[in-house]
Amino acid sequence: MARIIENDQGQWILLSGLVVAIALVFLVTLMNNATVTGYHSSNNALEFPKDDIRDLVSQSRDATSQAVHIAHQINQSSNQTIPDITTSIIEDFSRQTSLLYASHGQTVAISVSNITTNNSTSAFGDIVWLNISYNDGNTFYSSEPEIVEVSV
Amino acid sequence: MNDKAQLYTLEGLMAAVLITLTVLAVAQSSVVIIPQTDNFLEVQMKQKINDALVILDVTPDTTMEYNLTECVASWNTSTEASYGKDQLLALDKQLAIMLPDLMYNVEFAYVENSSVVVKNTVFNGAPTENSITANRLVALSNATVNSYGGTWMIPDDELKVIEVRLTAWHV
Amino acid sequence: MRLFFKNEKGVSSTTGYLLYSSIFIMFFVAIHFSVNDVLLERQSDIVIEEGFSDIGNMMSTTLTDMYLVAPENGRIDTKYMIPTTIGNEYYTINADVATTDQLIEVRSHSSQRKVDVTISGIASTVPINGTALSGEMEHMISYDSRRQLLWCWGGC
Repeated sequence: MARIIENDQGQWILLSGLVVAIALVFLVTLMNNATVTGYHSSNNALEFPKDDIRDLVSQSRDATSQAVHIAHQINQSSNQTIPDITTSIIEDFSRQTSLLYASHGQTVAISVSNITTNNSTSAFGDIVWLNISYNDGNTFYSSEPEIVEVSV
Repeated sequence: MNDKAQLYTLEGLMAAVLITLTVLAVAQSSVVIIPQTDNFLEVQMKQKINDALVILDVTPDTTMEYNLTECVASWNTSTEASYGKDQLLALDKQLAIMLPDLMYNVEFAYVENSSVVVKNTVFNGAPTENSITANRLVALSNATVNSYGGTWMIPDDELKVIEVRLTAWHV
Repeated sequence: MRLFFKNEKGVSSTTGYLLYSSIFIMFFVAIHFSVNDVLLERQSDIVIEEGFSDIGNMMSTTLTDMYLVAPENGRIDTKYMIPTTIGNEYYTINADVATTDQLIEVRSHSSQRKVDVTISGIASTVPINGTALSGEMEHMISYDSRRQLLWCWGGC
């Protein structure tokens, strides 16, 4: 027994073992609770389809205005009415756009709900009422109606 | 009474006190480092390339030499880019000025016979896994194509919708 | 018996043992008062602070983006996901103070910790209210232009 008490080998190992044990407790508690920071805010900034929705609405308005101009040109040499021609161009535009958006996972639908033509040469032009809807599984957007005024 | 080893005892006591105080001091003043995702780089890149496409599209003809509609309309539909052979030098130059520290590819996607066709137009390499894509739609009519000298075949009473896909990544 | 009392063998071992154990007991008492604070509460504080501000920033970004693309006539809904617990505590996202203080408040249920994140002043144009509990299955933010510009979340 006296020899065990007088034996002073291994003191450093014991002390460093104690220090390492305390440090491990601290780190393990930290790792248990900690996550990688900054994930949710940047993930939502990447996932929210702000640019897709904006692009869809602005291109629909642009294409509608182009369609009305084409319709006025065609109307002068054929007997289809301007609303009919405009509606068919916009339907074709909607078909192509939905296929393109579907190729990266989003459902898009554009349809015309009303067109009023202004035959006089006043300052007001034609007004087209569009229904635009967009769905990508997480976000659902619908603008009913989107009012586009085109001055010819 | 045995009074041997008193200094030894005292030394052991001081050692124990010293080490415990050290451990407490270190634990209290430790800096906790938590790793951060690098998603913020991608958020920034997404903003940049979206803005680049919007600027190219929206700027009027008189300010910029080639705006997006002109680039799309004047593309030769029978050619496709591969490494080293660009098909749209004008667009490539504009984008190089706007996005100086990124590498990018541009593809055109359009609908033909009810299926989506994708063609490369500017090709600068294969994208890494941190790449971001921005899309912009361009609607062309026959009058626009003819005025820019393009080769798109569009009937007079239709609009052709082309999606410009810009994929960019950090070098 | 007297021999028993006069025997002084083993005194130093006993004294040494008594000394060491009394010192260790004093250390134990001293450390016990501070270990909870140093080892457990501190990283909980740090983890919860960054977690809550991350969630608050996500809400602020999403609300600002929705406000930017909101239609004049129509509606827009977005689902979003948040972790059920941060630092082992359930929490609530509260936007009822948004109109008065322009803040989104993320508050923990079990402790008193909370983090406020500003929302760039959009609540002065569009009223925002609602609460979302982290334990719910689905979370949604929705906007309807017909309902007098009210936002409502967390299971509407």
